[in-house]
Amino acid sequence: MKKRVLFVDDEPNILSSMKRMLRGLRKTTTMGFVEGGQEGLLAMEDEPYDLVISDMRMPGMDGAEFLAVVRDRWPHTMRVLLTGQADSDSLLRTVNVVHTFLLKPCEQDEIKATIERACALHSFLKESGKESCEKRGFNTAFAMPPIYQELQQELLADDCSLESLAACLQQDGWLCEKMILLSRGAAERDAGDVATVAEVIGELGKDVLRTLVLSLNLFKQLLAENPSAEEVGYSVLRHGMQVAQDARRIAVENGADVGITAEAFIGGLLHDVGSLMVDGESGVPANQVGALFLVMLGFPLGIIEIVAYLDEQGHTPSALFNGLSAVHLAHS
Amino acid sequence: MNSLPPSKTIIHLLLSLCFFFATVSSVYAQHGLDTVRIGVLAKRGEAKALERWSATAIYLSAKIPTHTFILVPLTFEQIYPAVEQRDVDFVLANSAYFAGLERNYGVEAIATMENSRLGESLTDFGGVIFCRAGRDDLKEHKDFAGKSFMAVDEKSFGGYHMAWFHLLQHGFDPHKSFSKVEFAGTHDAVVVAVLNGDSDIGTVRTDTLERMVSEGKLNLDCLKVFTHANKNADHFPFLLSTSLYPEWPMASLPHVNRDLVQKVAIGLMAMEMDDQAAVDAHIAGWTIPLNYQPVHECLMGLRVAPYASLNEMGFGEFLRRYGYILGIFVLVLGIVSVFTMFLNRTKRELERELCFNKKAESKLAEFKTTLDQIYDCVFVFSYDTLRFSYVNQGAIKQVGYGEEELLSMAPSDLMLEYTAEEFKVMLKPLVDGEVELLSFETGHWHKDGYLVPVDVHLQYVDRDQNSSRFIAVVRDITKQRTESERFRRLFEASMDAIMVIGMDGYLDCNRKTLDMFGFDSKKEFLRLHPADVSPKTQPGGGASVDLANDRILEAMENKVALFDWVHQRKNGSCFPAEVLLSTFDMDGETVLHSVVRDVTERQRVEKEKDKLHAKLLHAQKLEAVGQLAAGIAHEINTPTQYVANNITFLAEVIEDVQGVVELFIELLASAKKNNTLSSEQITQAEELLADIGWEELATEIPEAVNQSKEGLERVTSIVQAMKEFSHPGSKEKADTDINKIITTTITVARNEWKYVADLETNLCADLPVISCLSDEVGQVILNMIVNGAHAIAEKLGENSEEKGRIHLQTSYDTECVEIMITDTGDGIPDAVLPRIFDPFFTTKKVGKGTGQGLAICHDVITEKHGGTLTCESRVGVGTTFTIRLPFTDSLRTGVLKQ
Repeated sequence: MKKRVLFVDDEPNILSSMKRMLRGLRKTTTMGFVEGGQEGLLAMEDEPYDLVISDMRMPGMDGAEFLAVVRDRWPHTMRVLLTGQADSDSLLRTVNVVHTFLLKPCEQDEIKATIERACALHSFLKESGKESCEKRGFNTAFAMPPIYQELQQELLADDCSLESLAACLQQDGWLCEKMILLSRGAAERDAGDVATVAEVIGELGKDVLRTLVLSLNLFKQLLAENPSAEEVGYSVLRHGMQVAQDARRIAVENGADVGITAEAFIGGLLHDVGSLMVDGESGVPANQVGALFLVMLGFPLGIIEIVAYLDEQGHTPSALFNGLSAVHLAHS
Repeated sequence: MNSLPPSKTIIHLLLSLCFFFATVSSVYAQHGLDTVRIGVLAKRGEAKALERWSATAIYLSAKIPTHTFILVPLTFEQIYPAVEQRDVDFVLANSAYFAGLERNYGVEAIATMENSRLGESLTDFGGVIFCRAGRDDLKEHKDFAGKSFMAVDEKSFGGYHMAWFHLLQHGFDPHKSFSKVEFAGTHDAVVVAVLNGDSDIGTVRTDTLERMVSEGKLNLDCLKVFTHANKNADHFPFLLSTSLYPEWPMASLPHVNRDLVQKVAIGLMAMEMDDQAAVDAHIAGWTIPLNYQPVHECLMGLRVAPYASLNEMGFGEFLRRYGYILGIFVLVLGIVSVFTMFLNRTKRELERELCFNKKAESKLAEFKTTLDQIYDCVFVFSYDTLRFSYVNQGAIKQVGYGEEELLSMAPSDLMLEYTAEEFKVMLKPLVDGEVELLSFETGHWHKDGYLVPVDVHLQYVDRDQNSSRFIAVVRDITKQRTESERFRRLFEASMDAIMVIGMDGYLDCNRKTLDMFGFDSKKEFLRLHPADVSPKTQPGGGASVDLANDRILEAMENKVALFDWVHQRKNGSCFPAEVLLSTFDMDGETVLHSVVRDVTERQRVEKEKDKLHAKLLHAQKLEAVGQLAAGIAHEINTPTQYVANNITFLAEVIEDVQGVVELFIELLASAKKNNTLSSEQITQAEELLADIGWEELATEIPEAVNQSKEGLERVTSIVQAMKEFSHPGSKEKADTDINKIITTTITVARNEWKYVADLETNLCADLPVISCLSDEVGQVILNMIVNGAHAIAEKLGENSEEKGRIHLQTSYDTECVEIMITDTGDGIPDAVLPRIFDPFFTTKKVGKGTGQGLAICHDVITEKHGGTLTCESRVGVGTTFTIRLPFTDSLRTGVLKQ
């Protein structure tokens, strides 16, 4: 079956040049080109695409809005933003929406590789898994912590500091406790202490904070949803934490950059989250359900790949050292 | 005034003594700790005084809550003793009485009343002299001779003394020239008497006439007023004949705490016209104390209290001046008693004499006590030996020697400035009877070695050879001295140089002047002319002498001149100064008062500010460029994307097309060989291939595509670099790869160097990251590259085919990362080299450089990073800048671990 990729950009020259440049993919890929968000939605309604690559700045509906609608209506479609402008505001608006960013001007190789990865992941995640997700009522709201909005604003604020972030996080004691545990390996001090929480944020890194909070909250919701299996749930979380710490260490030791280290850390933490989501009846593998849900939540591509491919034989798509390699090493 | 018959003195002394003791036991209420007593002259009785001034006491109590003010009404007779005994703390009396109190007891005016008269508020008043209208015979003062004169009261200041003194000053002595002088008792009565023709001429205080007019008691047309042109009295709203004198003052006694005095003065001055206190007192308020000297002059001129002859003098004053007479009296009394004792030896007489003797002894003891109680010192010494024969307790206290010690000493032992011989010479006029009294100021050495400034009044009494002696009344004038000392100190302690300049040069200067101009001795400085402490010319051009004269003229014309000036110190160095010249009269001569302030520091601070401002501008410019770059970047990135896409596409398809054409050429060759095509077709195809020059195209097309790709990559990198380079924010140091900064900067500055130089880099591959402000370090490197390029361009000249070389190299050791930037430009002359990092220093043409570049670089490297920026240069060969950025401690250990 051919992969389906939709390009959305208000600049027709971009669309036509993409079409020319990606001529080489024409045998394996069906490509759609539309000049705006509305047209994009019409095209999706017509026949959903596996992957949408959209520009950010467009008249009318902009990229962030368009991709958010795509997420809500076609949650399993992969979403990529191709933008000439990488300011913090637009990044923030798309943070739970897109799986990866491409910066204009972007070279052919990078575009091709991204299409390759996104489509491969999409086809790996079977339709049955999607149904399973929907049946369980997992949606974006499910994993959204109440403090998330406030945290976003705090991160954007001019006077954002470790202390102000800590003060915000402290509203959720469970979260703070887990973060301290993750950072120190033991809940050594009172989670109510701002200084401790601030220190922990500093140790874990401000960059991963948003994804980390989302990930931990996902565990929290899943644990709450199934009280009977709490003990099992906690053991999965504890194991995840262990793998996260190891994977991060391994990534650092291998000279990985900040992005890959973060991927390894969060991927390690979430690697088995799917096991808390399967209901046993459908027989859909846990990794697929987990990864699918992360697609829905707009987690970074690298993290979803870790969750999806960790247990799959022969599924290490890149020969380079990446987050998946780190978690592999930590897990084995 | 100095010589009085002794008998009269004694009688008066006794009277005064009685009065003195009576006063001591006066009835004034006990002093509370916080009670402040204001003595008020009750000239119209106690009730009136209370009615008028009680509100003022209440007002002050409210203003100064720590104290309770009470009012003590005092009659004319009570006021002197009350002040002398410190029964009151403040005293409110009319100007004439105040003058007496000031003179005798050192009370000090702290505020002057603003009188409210007919809607005017006045701080001074005077006297008015008048006659009936139509007296054409009375035109000038000299016409007054033989006429009768009516005044208010013998003791009235405004209603008599002022007019008296005024006439005296104008050569007319009322006592001698008027046919008679009478006193009407009240001001109104004087006016009535003149109107009725009871008297030819009258005087009352100012505003009396106007008041009577307003009350309908008088028509001014009926009077002729001898007004006197007084240039200081233009503002005065009432008819006036005499000089003006200040109104009643509130005065403080010397014992009162200065703090309280200040509070009271401030409180009084804050009094509003509608405050009850002001309403009750019929005044508009209080103002700063005026000068009461005119009052003293008037009273002195008239020889009335306190300048009256002895019979009107207070006891204290008397003792102070003539206490020595007491000594004589005591001695005489003693001798007489003893003598009498020997003469009358009958028992009865003896008893009587004994009784008398006892009385005399007790009197003697009493007088001795009195003498000893005097604050002033009394020394008696003989002419022959110049040894003291008597000293009172005051003297003992003042000089610190015991009585025994003193009696073996001579005056010259106390006054080290005179030798015994000199002192004798000084005494000569007294002995010869040329003068009656010798008054002078000197210093007395205290036994403990300090000098007590004193005022000495020396008199030679009884020129009889046997008992001739000198009597010295000596007063400690430390307090007065302190006053002038205080002003001297103000003068000396000023941080500005203050000079007084007369016609011939400097008259005086303070200590700071010597410091500022670098002189050791005042004498040396005062010998100079103002022109000697300025350089020959001022910075703006023009000789200092001429400019200084202009300024002096300006000050003379406008009373003041303020200007900037460059002064020169004794050692020849110059400093910028601000000079304030003003003129004032000193002993009848107009002199210049010059205040010179060294503004070196201020100018330095201003320069610093300018520098900061320039930096700020620079930073703002950079930030604006950064924002612009970020905005443009987006606009550039989109077209770049599709151009790049298309180029990529072309590169791919051209390969395909090339394959197709090659195949076609092969087919053509084989068709030609096998004759499968007509020769026309073949010729046509061959011509077409030759026409488009396929062989050339086959190599040129891929090359064109590759070049386009390269160009796009460069566009992309420039846009990226612009954004990175001018990215605002990141004001915190962050771990930075210096090599990356260098490559970015080279890209940004490409346009600056590529036409004049080849740029080489030798970047250390394993250069550790360093904590720094990447933007600012980038700026520095940019500056260095641009400067290098400019230097090379300068050396090569315009349109040169040649190119210079710029070399960038990085390395590191345990301490620092080192960046060396070398150019093959024209180099920096040795003379200029030390100044290149000075702000505003530039050798570039006007408009080419601000002179800020290297200064900012230096600041960034040294101040912000604690590093060093050094420069080596040889003219004609080139320049090397070396930047060394130190690792912070943590980073250094990090490097060492590796």
